[in-house]
Amino acid sequence: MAIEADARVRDAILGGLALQLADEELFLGHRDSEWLGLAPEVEEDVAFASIAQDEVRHASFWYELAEACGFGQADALAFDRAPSERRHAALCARPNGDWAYTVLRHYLYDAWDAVRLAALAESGDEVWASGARRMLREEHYHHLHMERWVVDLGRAGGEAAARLRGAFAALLPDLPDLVAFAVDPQALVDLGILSRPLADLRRAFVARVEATLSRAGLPAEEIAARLAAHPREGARQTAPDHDAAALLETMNGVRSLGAAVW
Amino acid sequence: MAMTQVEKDQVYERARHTSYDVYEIFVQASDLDPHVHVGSLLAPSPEWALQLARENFLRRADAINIWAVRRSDVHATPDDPDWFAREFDRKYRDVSGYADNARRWKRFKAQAMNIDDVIADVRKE
Repeated sequence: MAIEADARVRDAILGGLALQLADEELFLGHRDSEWLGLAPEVEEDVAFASIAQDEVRHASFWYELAEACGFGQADALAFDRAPSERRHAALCARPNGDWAYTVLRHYLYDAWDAVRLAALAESGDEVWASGARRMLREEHYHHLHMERWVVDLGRAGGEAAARLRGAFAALLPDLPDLVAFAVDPQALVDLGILSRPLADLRRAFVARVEATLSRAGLPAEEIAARLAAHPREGARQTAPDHDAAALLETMNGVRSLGAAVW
Repeated sequence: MAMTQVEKDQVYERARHTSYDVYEIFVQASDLDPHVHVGSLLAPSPEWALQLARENFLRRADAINIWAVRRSDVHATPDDPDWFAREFDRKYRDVSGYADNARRWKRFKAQAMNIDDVIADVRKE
């Protein structure tokens, strides 16, 4: 009886984390895909859309894990949950703004994703660990791609660097919630899913982005100060509804027709 | 006011840094395959060319290696038909003479068997 109760608690926590990761990948992937046909170069247009497709594929992996935790069918979790039930960090669903905002957001998200995936890859649960390892291999190339954009925009000077600085200022307030969890991170550590506590992961995140951002001429030191001011030790609050609502409206044309048959 | 040579050099340097070049992309599908030309793209540096090639040409196909070659680094023959002139018939170099080997061999074997049959018949006697 006690073992059953333990399993239920475990599923509730892990399913919550899976939904967070899934919602973040799905929303960011969809925001990225809005650039299709509009990216600054035709080569980047295809490349960025290809990266967006990778993110959506990662989302489907996490939705399937949430399904395995008893949260319901994966497609329904992806498409039918209301904006208020979503677990994403606000930054993932924000409108795209300009290209500098888009690539800097993706860069920062990828940097954090790499840190948390590395921690999940050492997880005691083999399904989580192997999924994280496979994702890390793909994310590495996304990370290189975005890092190159950030550094090149920053070093180009002129309008490019000015827009990048504007993007940094706009993204900074969203970072404490990005670098956090929708479920209590200490519970994840206790369950053996997360191999390191949040404070460690945050330090790794800052170390990972600092050199690149400085090279791009951005005030990287502001990140550590901002994170310290907002520790987000427990489960973070849900993101405001309106961005997710707008995204779901464009994503779910098919769902509005009822149960579609393919 | 006209630019000094130093200023001109700076402008040239900057332009060189941000100019886009055409890169020809070659993809190797497996260890047993040669690199095969798959297309070209515009990129501001060789590193960018490889990055963009990865996402543009390997969205579905598998590969183990990519080459990006700046098109201006490719040495091509002049646009001169004489380079490729064929004044005389080169049929003697073709392998077309071997095309019906199988049929000829079959006919020969059929014939040889007939001779064997004859010998066998003689020995029997």
